[in-house]
Amino acid sequence: MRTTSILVSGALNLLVTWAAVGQSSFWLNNIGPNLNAPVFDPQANLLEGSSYLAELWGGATPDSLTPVLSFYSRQRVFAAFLTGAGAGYFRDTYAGRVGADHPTVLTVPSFGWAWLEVRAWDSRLGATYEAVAASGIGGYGESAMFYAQGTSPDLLTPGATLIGLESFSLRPVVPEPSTVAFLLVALPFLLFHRCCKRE
Amino acid sequence: MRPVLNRGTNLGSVQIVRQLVTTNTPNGNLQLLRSNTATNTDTFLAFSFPVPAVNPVKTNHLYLAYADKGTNDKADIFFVSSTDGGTNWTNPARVNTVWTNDQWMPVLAGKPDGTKLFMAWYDRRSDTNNSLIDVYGRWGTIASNGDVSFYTNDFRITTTSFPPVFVGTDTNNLARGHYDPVYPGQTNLHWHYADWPTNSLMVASPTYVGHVGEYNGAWAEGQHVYMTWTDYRLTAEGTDYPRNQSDIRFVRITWP
Repeated sequence: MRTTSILVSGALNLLVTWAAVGQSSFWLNNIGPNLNAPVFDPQANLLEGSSYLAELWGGATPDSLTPVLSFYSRQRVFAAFLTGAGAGYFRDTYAGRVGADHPTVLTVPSFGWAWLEVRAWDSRLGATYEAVAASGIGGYGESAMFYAQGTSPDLLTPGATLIGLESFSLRPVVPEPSTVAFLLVALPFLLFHRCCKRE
Repeated sequence: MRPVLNRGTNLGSVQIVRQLVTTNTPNGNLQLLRSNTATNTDTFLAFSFPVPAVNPVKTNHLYLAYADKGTNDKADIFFVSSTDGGTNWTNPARVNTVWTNDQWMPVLAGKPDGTKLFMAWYDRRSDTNNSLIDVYGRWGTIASNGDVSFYTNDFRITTTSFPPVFVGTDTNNLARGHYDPVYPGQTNLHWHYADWPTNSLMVASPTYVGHVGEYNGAWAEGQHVYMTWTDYRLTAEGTDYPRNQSDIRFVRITWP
């Protein structure tokens, strides 16, 4: 009887650990039941194609948002925008990850509520949202912050839909001044300077 | 493993039985491919969960089976035992006699007189493409000193091989009528569930794309071993397209 207890305990411990892994999980997707939040460019066109990426940021408090990592592989999750009829919408397909490797807010308990924001950018301008935002030339945007309930990152529970997410637009891209533009602006001053020197 | 002592009054210290070779997540998922020619993301869940058994007449004699990454493939079946209540364990013995292709999902049962063991597992040795599954088994003998030795040969239990059934990344599995609506993959379910939105962009979560039927089991009495397993040899009736279904199969085998 004693030995039976020993081994069953070992197996159950593993299963309980598996089922009770904490933290609040979501599915990075902007269309579903009670959710329809397409994303636009500055001209109000729907974002389309894999050049545009979306990422979930989240935290336990509104001032603690960080990129939401996948639970098991602990990597940032970028979802590409769809094309055609799917323009404006993004969807994490879990490519290369197991189906339960949900983006998960680690600082919030299972099935807990988290503060969230979806951030999107043009990946031709930078690999991450922060990189594009830091460049100061636009081409990125973020949703209004919202408060949503997640699920659990166990293998039987889908990530929660991003209920509360609303549509948003990217900031316009302001082109960096080119060398020619600099020359055109500077030419009158150069000419004026030369004239003054001759006199 | 952690001993539970005095009917749960005390807990012993946690002991590592064996460090797995696989480092995959979650839970040592062996990430088995649909076949050797499948894309490397077309995998299903197969875990390294330990399957324990105790010797009913030899105090403190414990047995443990598990699947782990093999030398030549993604999964083999291993066996360890202890004669001191789990303080010390033998080195792992590979139980499947064919070391190519995948073997996983072990079950383990002991004869009530404490003299024999039965192990069985999923095995893809018969398919050169490492896709079609059989169930294989092997007998073990428990010596009076507790040493376990396995019979020379393992043996096939299934009479028909069957494919793994899961969504994975096979796009055919997203077509209406091709997939199991219980584990649907990223597809719109309106045709199957009337309350699901008609918008074709609204699809089911990818959570279940790697799910297959689980688990198998084995039990024994003095004359026989009984085993159940999930089997996909039959095609589902009444669907638009032929697709394999999950069934639970059962076999009774006489102890040698």
